[in-house]
Amino acid sequence: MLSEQDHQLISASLDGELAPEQEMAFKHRLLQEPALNKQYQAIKAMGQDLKNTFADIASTPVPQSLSSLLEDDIQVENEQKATQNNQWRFLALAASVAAIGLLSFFGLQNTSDNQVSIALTKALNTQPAMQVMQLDSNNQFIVLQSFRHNDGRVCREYQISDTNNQSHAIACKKNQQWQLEVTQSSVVAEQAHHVTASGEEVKTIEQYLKGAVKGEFLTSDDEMVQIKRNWQ
Amino acid sequence: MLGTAQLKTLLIDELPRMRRFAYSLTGNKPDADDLVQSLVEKLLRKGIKKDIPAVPWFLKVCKNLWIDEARASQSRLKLAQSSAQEPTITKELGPENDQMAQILKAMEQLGDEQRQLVGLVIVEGFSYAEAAHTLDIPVGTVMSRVARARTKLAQLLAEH
Repeated sequence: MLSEQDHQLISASLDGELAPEQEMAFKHRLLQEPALNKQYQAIKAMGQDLKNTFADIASTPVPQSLSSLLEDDIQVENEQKATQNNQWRFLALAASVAAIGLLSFFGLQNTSDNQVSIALTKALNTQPAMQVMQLDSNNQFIVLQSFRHNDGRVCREYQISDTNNQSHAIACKKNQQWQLEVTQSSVVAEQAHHVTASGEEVKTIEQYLKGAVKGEFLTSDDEMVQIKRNWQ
Repeated sequence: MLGTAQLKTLLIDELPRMRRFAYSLTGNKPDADDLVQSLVEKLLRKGIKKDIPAVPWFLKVCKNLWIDEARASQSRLKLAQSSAQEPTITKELGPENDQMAQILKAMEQLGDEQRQLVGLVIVEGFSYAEAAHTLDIPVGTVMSRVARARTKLAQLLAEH
């Protein structure tokens, strides 16, 4: 049974209303408390369902009585939007051509397995925060949070772990490549059932975050926008 | 005051948002569009000052119109009941699938202010400060009410 304070933390985290230190502490609790994490995922999914439900009104045409109030302007607006859509299509095409040259950075992270390297790049590009995924038969991956760096880059803090080791790292995307900013490896305690981080490890990452984070961490909505844009 | 052409441009830009917010308040599409119609008419009639943030103002007026309309509907319903007539509600509900229907049903169980906050914060992505300003309530109240609304909705949806 979660406390009212826990429900408020979940809610404030989803709304991007926690201070960076609070957000960090909360995300680490999520990793260690399955009940809290389960409720977080349920509330997060419900938020998306709510958005989808009310966005569905767009499938119903605007009534004539309403559109007639704004009729001339709507026509102009539609023409402008059609032009904008064409511009986006062009940009998406340009980005996809450039992405052919995308190189994995994972070799920088003391891993010789190129297969994992490619998988990690894909995971960083596509995985929402706080969802555990298997990178391969041995390695588990989870994004803890995403943020915008002071220099404008988008960055992601994540953990990779197997049964014995874990790597806690931050990577930022520049020139269509994920670049490793800071990483620390440690041995996972034998009794641990899921990814945990040592105090020293968190301190180093926290120090980096304090100096690098511009304003706020990305909300889950911001992340989805970035995922759709391939973090460009 | 903002010129009519500028105001119309803003209203067109924000029409999808106003319809979504109105739908989150009314729970059905025809009433939502009626509400937005009243909103647009009022805004075009009264205008809006240049220095007012337009979107929060639109949604604030929308919320006030909905409250007025809800009160008027209550009065009409009481009048109908007192004259021993069956209320003839033939509104076309809009849910396209079971999940949406359940969400709309759960939303009906929320109080008015919780529903407004769900619309502003969860659906429209307003910050707590923006929602507090729009509804004239403290930021701390927004935080606790949004959390309670989420918890209640999750419980209601889990029961189905």
